[in-house]
Amino acid sequence: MEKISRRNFLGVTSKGAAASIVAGTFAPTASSMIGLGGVASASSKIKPFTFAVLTDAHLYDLPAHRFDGFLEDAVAQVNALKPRPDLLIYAGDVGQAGKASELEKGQKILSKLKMPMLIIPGEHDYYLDMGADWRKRFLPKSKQGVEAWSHDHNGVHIIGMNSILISDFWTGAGLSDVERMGRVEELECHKCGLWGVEAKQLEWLKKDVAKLSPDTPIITFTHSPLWDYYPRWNFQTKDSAEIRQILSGFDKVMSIHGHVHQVVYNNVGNMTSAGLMSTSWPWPYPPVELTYPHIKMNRQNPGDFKDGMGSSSVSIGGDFDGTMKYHAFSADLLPANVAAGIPI
Amino acid sequence: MKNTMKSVALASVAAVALTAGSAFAAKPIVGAEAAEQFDALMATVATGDSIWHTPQGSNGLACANCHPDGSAIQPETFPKAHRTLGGRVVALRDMIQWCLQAVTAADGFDYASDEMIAMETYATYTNRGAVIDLGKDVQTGAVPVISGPGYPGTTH
Repeated sequence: MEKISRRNFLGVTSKGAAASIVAGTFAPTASSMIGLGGVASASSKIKPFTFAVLTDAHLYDLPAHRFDGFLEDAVAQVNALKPRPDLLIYAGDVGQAGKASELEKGQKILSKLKMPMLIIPGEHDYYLDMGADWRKRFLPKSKQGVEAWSHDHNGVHIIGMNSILISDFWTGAGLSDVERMGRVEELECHKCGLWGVEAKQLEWLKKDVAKLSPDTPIITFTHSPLWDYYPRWNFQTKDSAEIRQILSGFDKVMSIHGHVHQVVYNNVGNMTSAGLMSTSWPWPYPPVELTYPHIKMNRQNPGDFKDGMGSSSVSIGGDFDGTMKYHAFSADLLPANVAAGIPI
Repeated sequence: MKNTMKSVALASVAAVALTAGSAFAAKPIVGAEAAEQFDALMATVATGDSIWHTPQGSNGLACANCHPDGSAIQPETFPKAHRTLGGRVVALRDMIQWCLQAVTAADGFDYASDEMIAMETYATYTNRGAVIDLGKDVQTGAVPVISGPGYPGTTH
């Protein structure tokens, strides 16, 4: 499998922006064609590697906002990892209110990454203009129709999907674009409803994995969890059961998601699932019982605005044995078992 | 032993009688008066809900950014000594004021203002049912809330 080269990413970045970098990722290269062409990637063929993950920067359209610095610090954090991750996946919510200025700021900060980036949208990137600016900046023209992608790397099939699609609650209510975004900005939006990947992406997913052999290692990225964690805060994806069904024939699937702003873990069937810390603010654990209550982060200190956040990386071994490492900004956020790395 | 138990029993009866007597000293709040109080409470919860979800300061952050549904506040644990506020014993409104000023870069509200009362009301209403446990200092989530049609102040 051809590794994404930095040259491949940056070769088209005359504007020096992350959007162009990502566009390079999705160009119909030989590697992506191989992945979609159904050449089986048996786990025995995995070449061990590490990838990094960032999510939920929630950048505001305000100068010198402290969240800007948090994202910059997280970028520096993953750039300094040894060995350097082969690639980075950004799991959604670059901006807070979907403004071009927020996304542009994020693009600029993320362009400092020293590895290629793949990206999926979050609801905060999306509902001001229904993702138009986000797509323009972060997706190539060939991916404008279905906001889902797959990429093969070192024998692993990596899938990214837009999991924050919601039914139209705004037209009937006569809401403006800004009002729609304002509603969605609230985690406990009563009228937004449950979100998911919806039919078009489910069809895409079926086709994407149709010709892969069952032992192909699969990693999925969605903004929200692919299990029903706490639907009231959209800590869910409404069609996650269908997604799990489509992927049920594979030996093992890793699902990594943003949105929850916290360390959380679950296992459903052949799918292990890990949630990520943000680089903006942490969220409390919702009032539900966790299946793996020992995989959590500690209570953060409200007086330390950087506590409760950080970046993550995942090392993939030759047997598709993964270890999720959380890199918290504050040393005492993670209990010892989580700081040591979570098998995923 | 028998006499002692009898004494306790008599004392209990006396206590019940006293309690019952005092219960009739003022009329229970029922009917229209109770409804009026509840409506006033819900109106204040709605005001608090609105303030909670609206940035009050200069950095765009609202209380709901970190505390959706009034979670991670634990109003039932106040007053308590709080490390973030210098280790002194503070009331819930002290903590709200600190969050407004330090976290959201707002001016804050006068303690007796309608806004502060409304925020305190929202914070306590969304955590209703929690057992008062002064000084408790552990992280828990919010209680499940009533959502959808009929939820007070549902504008979002």
